[in-house]
Amino acid sequence: MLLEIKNIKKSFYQKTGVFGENRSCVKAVDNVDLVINQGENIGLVGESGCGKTTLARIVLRLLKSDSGSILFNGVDITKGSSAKLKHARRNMQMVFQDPYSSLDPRFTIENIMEEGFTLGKGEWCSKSTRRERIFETFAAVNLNRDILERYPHEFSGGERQRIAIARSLVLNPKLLILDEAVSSLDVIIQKQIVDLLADLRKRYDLTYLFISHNLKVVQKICQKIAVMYKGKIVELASADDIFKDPLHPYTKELLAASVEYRSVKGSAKIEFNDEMRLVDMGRNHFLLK
Amino acid sequence: MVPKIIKIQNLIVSVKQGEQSKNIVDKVSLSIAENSIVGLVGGSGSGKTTIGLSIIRLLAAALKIDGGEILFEGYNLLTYSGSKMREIRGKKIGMVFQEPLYAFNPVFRVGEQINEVLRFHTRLDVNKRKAKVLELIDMVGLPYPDKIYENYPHQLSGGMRQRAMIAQAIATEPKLLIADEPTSNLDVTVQAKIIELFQDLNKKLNLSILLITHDLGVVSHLCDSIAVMTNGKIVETGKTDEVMRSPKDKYTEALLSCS
Ligand SMILES: Nc1ncnc2c1ncn2[C@@H]1O[C@H](COP(=O)(O)OP(=O)(O)OP(=O)(O)O)[C@@H](O)[C@H]1O
Ligand SMILES: Nc1ncnc2c1ncn2[C@@H]1O[C@H](COP(=O)(O)OP(=O)(O)OP(=O)(O)O)[C@@H](O)[C@H]1O
Ligand SMILES: [Mg+2]
Ligand SMILES: [Mg+2]
Repeated sequence: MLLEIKNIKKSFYQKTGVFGENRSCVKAVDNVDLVINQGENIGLVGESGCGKTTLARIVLRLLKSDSGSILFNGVDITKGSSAKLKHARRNMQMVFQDPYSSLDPRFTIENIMEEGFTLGKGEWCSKSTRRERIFETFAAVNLNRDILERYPHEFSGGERQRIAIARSLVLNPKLLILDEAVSSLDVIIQKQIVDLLADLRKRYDLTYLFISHNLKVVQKICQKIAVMYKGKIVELASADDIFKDPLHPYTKELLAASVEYRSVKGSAKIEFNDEMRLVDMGRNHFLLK
Repeated sequence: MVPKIIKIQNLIVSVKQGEQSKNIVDKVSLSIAENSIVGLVGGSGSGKTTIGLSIIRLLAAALKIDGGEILFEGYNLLTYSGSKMREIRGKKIGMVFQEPLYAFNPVFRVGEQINEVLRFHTRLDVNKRKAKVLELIDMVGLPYPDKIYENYPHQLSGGMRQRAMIAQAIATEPKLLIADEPTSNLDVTVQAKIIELFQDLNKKLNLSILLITHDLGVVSHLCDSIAVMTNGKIVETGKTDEVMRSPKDKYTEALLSCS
C-alpha cells in the first residue's frame, strides 16, 4: 500500500449574518477511507464542491483534518517527526487546480522550477544537471526552453498548467496528485500529457490520484475510480465496472449527463445518512449503503 | 446579411520580449452575428484569451494592440476612453475569465462583489440588488445562495468560484458574453446546467456569446458557428456542424481526430 487514507473528516465553520451571529458548518470531507496501491491509479470524480480538493490538501498536509490518519508507505504522516513528513513530501507532489494562484507571481519560471528541487538537493546538487532535468520536463509537456526568465502571469492558462505539471515531475515522485490538471489544455496537448503520464507510470512506477471532471481522460488513465458526493465516497470500483455497471444513483446521473449534455431533472433521489458504509457488492465493487 | 454584434477586423496584438516583438494575435478577423453563439477553439497558447481580453480592453501592460479594429454596435472599441470602456465592461459586455481568482478580490465577500456590479451599472435599490444577486447565485446552480453570498472567494471550491463568476458576468443582462473556459472546472451534471442557462439567456434575452473552450463536445452542442485558432491566426471558420463534419484545415482535422 502506497497511501492509506483512514476515517478522514474535515468540516469548515462559517460565521454569517451582520454580526456573525449565525454559525454554519460544511462537512467538506466526511469519514473518507481510501487505499492507493503502488502502480494503481485512482480517479476521483464527483460534483463540484463535493470535497475532492479538500481531501487532496489533507493528504499533502496542507490542511489539518479534524480526525483520521494518513499512512504513506505504512508510516502515519499525521503524527510524528518532521523527518518522516519530509520523506513523504519529497515523494508526493501535487498539481493544483488553480495554477494562477499556485505559482508564486514574484518568481520567474527558473526560480519556480529550481524550487521544485528543494527537497532533493542531495541528489541534484549540480546546477547543470538540474538545468538538464528542467528542460527534459519542459519537452515532455511541450513547453519551449526559452521561458525561464518569464513570470507566471505572462503565460496562457494552459501554459501555466503545463509549468505546474513540469514542476511536479522534476524529482520523480512516487505519488502524484493531479487536481483538474488538464482542464485548460487543448485535446492534442491533453493527449500528449495523458500519454506522458502512462509512460512515467511504466518507467518509474509513478502512481496517480487523478481528480478530474473529464470522464474520458479518467477512463484512459485510471484503473480504479472513486465517486465522491457531498463529502463521502459513494462508489468505488474498477474503471470498467464504474462505466459498465454503475450502481449509485449519483454515478448513474454523472454518466448520463456526460453523453447527453443535459441536466437530469428530478433525477433519482439520493439517500444519505451517517450510518451508511461502503459495502462490497462483489468483485471489489463498493457502494455506500 | 445578419447584423453583427461584434466585428473584429485585422486585429494585431504584440508582445515585447527583450529587443524583439512578437505578434501573438496576427491579423485576426472574427465576427459574431446578433443573438448567436460562436465557439473559439484552438491550441493552448494560440491567442484565444488575448482576443477576449482585447475586446474588453483588459490586456496586460506588456501586450499592445498594433492594428485593426473591434466594432461593437458599430463603434470601434479601440478608440474608447478608459471611463467609457468601464461603462461598457460589465454592463454591455460580460466576461467570464479563464481563471476565477482573477475576477474576484480575495478580501471581499463573493455576494458583495456581484452586488457591486449591479450598484455600478443599474439603478436597483439595496433590497432589489440583494434579491437579484441571490437569484443569480441560484441560477448557476450553487446551493444555499444566502450562504454563498457571505463566503469569501477562497472558501468556495474551484467549480463554485467559476459559477459565482458566471453569475457576476450575467448580472447586468449584457448584450455580449465572453466566456473563457467557463465550464473547465465543472462536473458534467453542473456543466449541463450551465449550458442550459446559456441557451436560455440566448433565447430569452438575445444574449450573444463568444465561447472560448477546449471542449469540442460543448461546442458542437451549444455553438452556431466555430472559429479555429492556432499560432495567433484563425485558420478556419464556419457553421459548427459543417466544420465538424468536414474540416478543411489540417490543424482543425488534427484537433477533431484527438477528441
Ligand atoms: N477554506 C474554506 N473555508 C470554508 N469552506 C471551505 C473552504 N475550503 C473549502 N470549503 C468548502 O468545502 C466544500 C468542498 O470544497 P472542495 O474545494 O474540496 O470541493 P471540490 O470537490 O474540489 O470541488 P470542485 O470540483 O468545484 O473543485 C465546499 O462546499 C467549499 O465551499
Ligand atoms: N505578458 C505576456 N508576455 C509574454 N507573452 C505573453 C504574455 N501574455 C501572453 N503571452 C503569450 O501569448 C500567447 C497567447 O496567450 P493566450 O492566453 O491568448 O492563449 P490561449 O489561446 O488563451 O491559451 P490557453 O488555451 O492555454 O489558455 C501565449 O503563447 C502566451 O505565452
Ligand atoms: Mg476542487
Ligand atoms: Mg486562455
